[in-house]
Amino acid sequence: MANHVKRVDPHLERIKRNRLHPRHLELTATAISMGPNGIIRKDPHKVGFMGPNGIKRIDRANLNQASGNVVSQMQIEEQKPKHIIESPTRYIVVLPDLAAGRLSSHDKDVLGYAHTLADENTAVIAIAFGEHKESGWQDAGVDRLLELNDDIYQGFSPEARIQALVQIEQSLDVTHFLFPDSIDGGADLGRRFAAELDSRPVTHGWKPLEDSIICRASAGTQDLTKTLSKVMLLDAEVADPIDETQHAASTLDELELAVSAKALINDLGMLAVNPADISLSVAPFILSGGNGIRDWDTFHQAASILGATEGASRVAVDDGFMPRHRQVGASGIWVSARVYIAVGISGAVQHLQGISQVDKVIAINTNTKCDMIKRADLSIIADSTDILNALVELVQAQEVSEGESHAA
Amino acid sequence: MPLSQLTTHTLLSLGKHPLSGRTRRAEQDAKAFELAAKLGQCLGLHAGNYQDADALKSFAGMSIAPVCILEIEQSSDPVAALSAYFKQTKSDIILTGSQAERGESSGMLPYLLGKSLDLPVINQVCEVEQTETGLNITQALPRGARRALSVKPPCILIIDESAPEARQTAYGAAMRAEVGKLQGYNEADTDAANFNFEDARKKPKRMKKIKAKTAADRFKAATVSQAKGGQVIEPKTSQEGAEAILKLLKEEGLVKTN
Ligand SMILES: Cc1cc2nc3c(=O)[nH]c(=O)nc-3n(C[C@H](O)[C@H](O)[C@H](O)COP(=O)(O)OP(=O)(O)OC[C@H]3O[C@@H](n4cnc5c(N)ncnc54)[C@H](O)[C@@H]3O)c2cc1C
Repeated sequence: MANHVKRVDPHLERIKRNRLHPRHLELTATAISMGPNGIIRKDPHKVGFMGPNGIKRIDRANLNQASGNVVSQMQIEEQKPKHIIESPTRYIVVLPDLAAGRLSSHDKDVLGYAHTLADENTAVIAIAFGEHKESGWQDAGVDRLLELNDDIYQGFSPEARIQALVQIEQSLDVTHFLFPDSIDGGADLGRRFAAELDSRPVTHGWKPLEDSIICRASAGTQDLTKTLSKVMLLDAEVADPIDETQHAASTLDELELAVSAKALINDLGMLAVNPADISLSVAPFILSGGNGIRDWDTFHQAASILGATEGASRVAVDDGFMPRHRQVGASGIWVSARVYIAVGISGAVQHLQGISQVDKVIAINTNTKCDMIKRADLSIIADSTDILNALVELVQAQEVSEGESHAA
Repeated sequence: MPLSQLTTHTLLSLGKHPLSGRTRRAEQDAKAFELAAKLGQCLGLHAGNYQDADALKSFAGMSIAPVCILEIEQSSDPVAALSAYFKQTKSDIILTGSQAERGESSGMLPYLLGKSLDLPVINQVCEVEQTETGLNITQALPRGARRALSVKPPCILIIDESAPEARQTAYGAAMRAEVGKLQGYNEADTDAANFNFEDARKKPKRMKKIKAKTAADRFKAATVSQAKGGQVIEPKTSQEGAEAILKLLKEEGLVKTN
């Protein structure tokens, strides 16, 4: 009799079904193991788990195991179909802005649009002027990559860049030159190039039709449909970015460019800007303080030494430590910084809404459980004053050693 | 060459109030005119129909410089007319806005003019200063950054939004002002004749695409939150924590590396 009674511990079964339970992995441990003779053994009794109605369930889709999911996702990424163009006859050239050295989402949209225009013999070339930090060319839809980072292309160098583009236009069969119509550089370079070729460009193109594209006109208040042109300047979200194919992004080296360094416009370099003068909504680097700041003098000192624009949570503003125009969040300012350091800010939804556009968040907080840490890319669990003081000391020490090495 | 001896032209266009649609001065051009006020002798120039003279008086009402219309036909290309004008009348600096408030508003005019007159064009200008050898220009970049450039006149400068605000126009001065008239060179713009303007359509909001191949993946995308969570450090000394922060800041290029 006893043999027929299957003894089930309902508690353990529930743990097996609940992938969030801390002991879940321990109980659903792999059914596959190495046998004594080096042969892989699969224990059929350990496959699957008991369902709530006493029916055995096998989780073939790996839904229940977090670690299993990661593996399957990685495999999917590796399996992205390859898009390879061996010997293209024609080209579409895209000039990404590479603001901050990386492809922006606007750049990726333009690359996506390039592929809607390309046929099977057309390769999409991306030209990267100057230094960059981008490595994801393959996934963004770049078939050929041309990196031009000689000295003459650094900084503001429209004359050299236009010369290079004109020579590319003469030596390759290019159907379209596509630029993001953005203040990060695309709007300017594209218009210069269109004027150079004396061809009327599509500007602020935002909605592709069959052989034409709808453009914004009258400073954005009207629409104008234009036929596709050789030079096109496109708005963000003109097309979906490429994400299902992998491209070669091989270097394009058969080009010989002869660009003269003579320029009428001289770049004298970037000017030092006082971070406090930059409007909070566009500031690239923000140090923001909340209720967890014990010593506001240290906070201000850290902001000035790091060169960060100051922000604050509502509590810090309400308590009178910071002016109202420094408040970040739903009822304050929506920021778009590249790096946002939140010191002693708990991460209330109203605050998190304001930083939704931020690239990288660093949290300094004493509480491991707070919501800011879930949002942050890097969290330091420590007292705010101590960390800010240490940061100030570190940067100052670095400046001193730099000064010494200069003096030597 | 002292600044006052430079001759400056500001290209003016008619604006349109974004809500009421009323004709007004184009705000960017007004900023350019304001900047020109500092640069010595100046003329405000508009290529178009003399019927618009009344509307252009709002520029004259700024009491900076005389305003003149280079008269061309409705179908003519203003670039050709301006280019013909500047080939005869030399100008050291030509100031423009970045984009017209009416019509195609492609922002091509300064570049086409630069090409046909063979002049350097600088965009996003927010400050101009004269030096011994030429002009020092401050260019406004995104995120509040500024770049210094230098150029020798003659040149074309495109004004940025962040240039100093233009002064208001005085109604009385505007009404009393005379708008000058010059005969412009006519060259038809055939492309523009076929342009068909419509009211701007609303741009749809981009939806988040879920590209799941199996039902299980779709289910997961709809239920499991995508929270990623970053690196969490509990430093033993505050030095250690500060170093971790500084490392990230250096990677982002916000603090100098040594
Ligand atoms: C309608 C409405 C609109 C709002 N709009 C906004 C808005 O626009 N912006 C905004 O910010 N808020 C807004 N709020 C307020 C918001 O809900 C929160 O109350 C506020 O953001 C909390 O601010 P805080 O994180 O600085 O303070 P707290 O929530 O008190 O958090 C302080 C944090 O500091 C940490 N801490 C304490 N001591 C230390 C220490 N020594 N070292 C390090 N960390 C320490 C704590 O662990 C805690 O996480 C709004 C609220 C409402 C109702």
